[in-house]
Amino acid sequence: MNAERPPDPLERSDQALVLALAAAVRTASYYEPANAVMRQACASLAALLAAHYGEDGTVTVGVHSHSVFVGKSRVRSSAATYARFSYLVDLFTDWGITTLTFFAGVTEGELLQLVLTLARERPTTGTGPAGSLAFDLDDLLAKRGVTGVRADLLSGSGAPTATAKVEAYAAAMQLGEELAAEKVPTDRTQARRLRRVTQAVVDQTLRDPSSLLALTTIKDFDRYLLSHSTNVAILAVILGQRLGLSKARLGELCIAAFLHDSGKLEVLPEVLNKPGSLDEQEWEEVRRHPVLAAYAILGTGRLSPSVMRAVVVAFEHHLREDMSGYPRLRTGLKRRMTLFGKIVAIVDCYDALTTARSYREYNFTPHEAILYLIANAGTHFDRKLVKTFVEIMGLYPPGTLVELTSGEFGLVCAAPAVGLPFDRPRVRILTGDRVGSVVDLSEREGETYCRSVARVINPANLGQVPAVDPSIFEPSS
Amino acid sequence: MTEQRTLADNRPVTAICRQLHRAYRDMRLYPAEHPVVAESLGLLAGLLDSYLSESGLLLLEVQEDQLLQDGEPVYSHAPRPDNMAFLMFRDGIRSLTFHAGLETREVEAFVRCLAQANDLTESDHDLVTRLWEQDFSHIDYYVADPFLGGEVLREGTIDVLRETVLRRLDQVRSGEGLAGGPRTGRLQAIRPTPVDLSRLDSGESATGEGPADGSQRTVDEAADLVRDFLVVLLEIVSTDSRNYDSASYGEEAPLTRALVRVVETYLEGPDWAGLELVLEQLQQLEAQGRCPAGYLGLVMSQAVTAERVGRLLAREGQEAPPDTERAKRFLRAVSPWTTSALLEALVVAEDRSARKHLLDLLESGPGLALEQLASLLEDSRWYVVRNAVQLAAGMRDSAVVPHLERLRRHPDARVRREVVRALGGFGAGPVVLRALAATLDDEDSSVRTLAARALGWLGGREQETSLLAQVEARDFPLRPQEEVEALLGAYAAIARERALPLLDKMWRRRLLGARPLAVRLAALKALAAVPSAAAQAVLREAAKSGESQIRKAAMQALQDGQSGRSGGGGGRP
Repeated sequence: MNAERPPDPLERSDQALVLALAAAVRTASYYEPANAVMRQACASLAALLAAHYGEDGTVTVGVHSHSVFVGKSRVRSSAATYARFSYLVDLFTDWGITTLTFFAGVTEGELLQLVLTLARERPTTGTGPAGSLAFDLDDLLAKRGVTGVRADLLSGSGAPTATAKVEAYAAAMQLGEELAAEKVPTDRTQARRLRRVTQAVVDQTLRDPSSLLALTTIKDFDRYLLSHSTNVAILAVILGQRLGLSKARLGELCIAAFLHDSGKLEVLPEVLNKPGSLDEQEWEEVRRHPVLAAYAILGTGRLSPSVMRAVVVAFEHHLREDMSGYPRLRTGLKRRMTLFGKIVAIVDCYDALTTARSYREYNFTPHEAILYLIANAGTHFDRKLVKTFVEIMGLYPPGTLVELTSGEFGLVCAAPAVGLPFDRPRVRILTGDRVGSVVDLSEREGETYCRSVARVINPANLGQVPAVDPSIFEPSS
Repeated sequence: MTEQRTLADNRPVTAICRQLHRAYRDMRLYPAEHPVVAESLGLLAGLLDSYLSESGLLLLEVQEDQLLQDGEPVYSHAPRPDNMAFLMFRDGIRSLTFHAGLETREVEAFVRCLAQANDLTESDHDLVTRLWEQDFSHIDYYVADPFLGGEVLREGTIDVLRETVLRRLDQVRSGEGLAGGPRTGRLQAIRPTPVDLSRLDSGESATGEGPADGSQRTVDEAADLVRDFLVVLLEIVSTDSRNYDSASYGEEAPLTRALVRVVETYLEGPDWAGLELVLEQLQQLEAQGRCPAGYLGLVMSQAVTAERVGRLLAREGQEAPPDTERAKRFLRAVSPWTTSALLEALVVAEDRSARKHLLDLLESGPGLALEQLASLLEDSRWYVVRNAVQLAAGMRDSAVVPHLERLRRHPDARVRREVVRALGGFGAGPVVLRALAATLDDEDSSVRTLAARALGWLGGREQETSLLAQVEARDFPLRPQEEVEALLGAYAAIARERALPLLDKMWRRRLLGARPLAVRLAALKALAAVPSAAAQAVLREAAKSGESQIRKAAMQALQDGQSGRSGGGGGRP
């Protein structure tokens, strides 16, 4: 069932080159050019390049669809190497580079200048059509005497459009609405549509996890269940991706997460949306929804592995690590949760906590939801998975309103880049002179960060705030 | 001129498509590791590599039953179900692109997906999903899925999202805290981090599983999946009393189908621990009244099919003895609910030990109904009828006797022998005795022998005449020794004193012509079954014979007579 296969020697060698390039750039952001560590990183990179030159005397490292290529071969990342791969992908994306071509004979000195430029001149204005930046990079490199490396421009055609992401999200919402009418997909066409939509969600997530993550903050209160199911599916895939699950498993995880709460459609709406606290009988009704969901999914047709996983996840998503929670277990056979169940339990809780509900006097901010997960790691939730989730979301996840040490108010619009401290997200400024601009809290002046979070705010008890720019819904985007 | 050039340009692509079709066909015909498949794939990979290294990419348009390059057909094939273009088109694929750098394993995976396309619908899968799961680096395809193309996104769906965002952002702007504008001066950063992140680093997860990366992925192993699924199903059975009604536990109920599927999977394995778990748990739940009585039987009767039983029995001998024992235990445990499957398995069982096993299971089961056997007793295959007769014998139902009476004339002697054995089990009723007597005229000696033994055992004076007729038949002395012994023994057992003159005559030498020694010895043996002083006297006389073999046989018969070892006709058939 585990689709990941061990890399062959050629793949390992390509992987080593990618890791060396990522390590060299990363080192350049911390160490001075003359530092021995820096020299060593460039020497390693040069040696690996020398082993890779083809007959034409070049070797290319490129990024396409969030994947890294050496020559024409895609280099797969693993859970262990994900962070460094992701760092390189972000680096290329920020610079608008599709390919770096290294020519035989490139010196260690040129490589040093290359990585220093990439690390220290790194644009901080975020992603976007960056062809001009790549042009600038070539110019910069030439000025610094780097002739053995060429940076190619972003073509644009392979980059995911904002529209594609929004459509995948909207399609998931719409499908959820249609399925809700029948509780779960009951015929082959619907099941196929479910697969297609979840595949699109997985594809978009793999290409650009941060954009989909931002979309999960929209939170349509009038259609809570639909937006919750879609959000849980997206968050689960993002967490699954970070864990190194294969695409096939991510597809199954996405379906399972999408259907996990389908049992709530069987719970009386007046109970589900009741303002105030529930009495014991109403609680009992709500506590049945995992079993109802599992039962409903069982009725969807053939029992493929995907359906089996969805049933298990639906049943498990309110169970805790210590097997407490609900539904109450009776057979004594269930002694552990499945990986998918653990993932969905975490992201389900996070999304539920960050959605303002009529019956809550106080709505959690995303930051508080993260603190809740951390506080309950090891008892309610798998500790290691919570840690990975926090690495993805940061301590101030997208959708958190913050006041910065600069006195500006801002909205966290993107989690910290991989490898950066958890408490250094990107923030869109909402007040003051810089309204609309995005600042990276990892920016420093010397040893000091330019801005930090001074406090988290929760105006109008909104909890989480949409972290998306409304312009992404325009057709032109 | 242009057309000629186009055709010439397309020639390499036509060759690639032709080879793609061959590889696809070979993959369907041969096992994956077969050299023909390897050769076919190798040729295809070579053609693609040489084309792509020159052209960079190969873009094919997929139409209903053909592939086009630059608008020109490069592949078509009839009939349609075998047409690769149709397989792709049916699933919404409208174009296919191979990129330079294409790896052999990608070519193989792609062809495998195509080869399995027609089987995928069986498992509720589809070609696009299978291709998507492969996560190809150098193969792209465009799927014309109207849902994802945006055409059927309902008007306003995206507008609703935009308005939601705008509305909520307005709420933020008007909320307290922001309305007052920025504060002045530099504020203190939150530090240190207000939570103890180190708690996330400590120890293993609460479940005792490994870290949340590589090793935890093994949780996804197929065996674990089925076990996890089963445990959830059992929890649902035991938890949800709401579903405690006949509809929820019927044959077609989702829960039942799911449990059946799990048992089927375990049987395919086979996974004895899993099967034992299902048995044990459903028995417990039934006993506790948490599912309807008979639910275990319903699940097992659906999952344990004749085909699966056959496969299980075929594995016997290939498996370690403990597993063989577990298989037997399991089949015995489920035999009360799987009679039909066991019967069907018996019908087709060719292996002697499997047949014996099945017969044991069926005979030790809750009993068969004649209706279940009726069609088997009519079957055209001799061994099916023979097995059914054996089962019928165990039923002890007199309604079977007319069937046996009819089968007494079955063309195959192996069936007739079983019929005689079966008849012998139904006691000394007139119908049975008449049937057995009539069988004494069977063309096959072994059948006659068995019939004679049965008669000797059952008695029945009315049959004395039939036996005597056989003994006095002209060919009697020439018949096989076993038959001679059986006939004389049966005659002696029934006729007793009346048999004495004939037997006395038969052990002696003939004055004219030779009497086979086998007949003479058989007569002495039969005399032992006559409990009279006169018979003893005859045997004592024979014991003084000058012929050593006669003397020994007579002494043995005397001993047998005294110890009561001599049964009429040589014992119960």
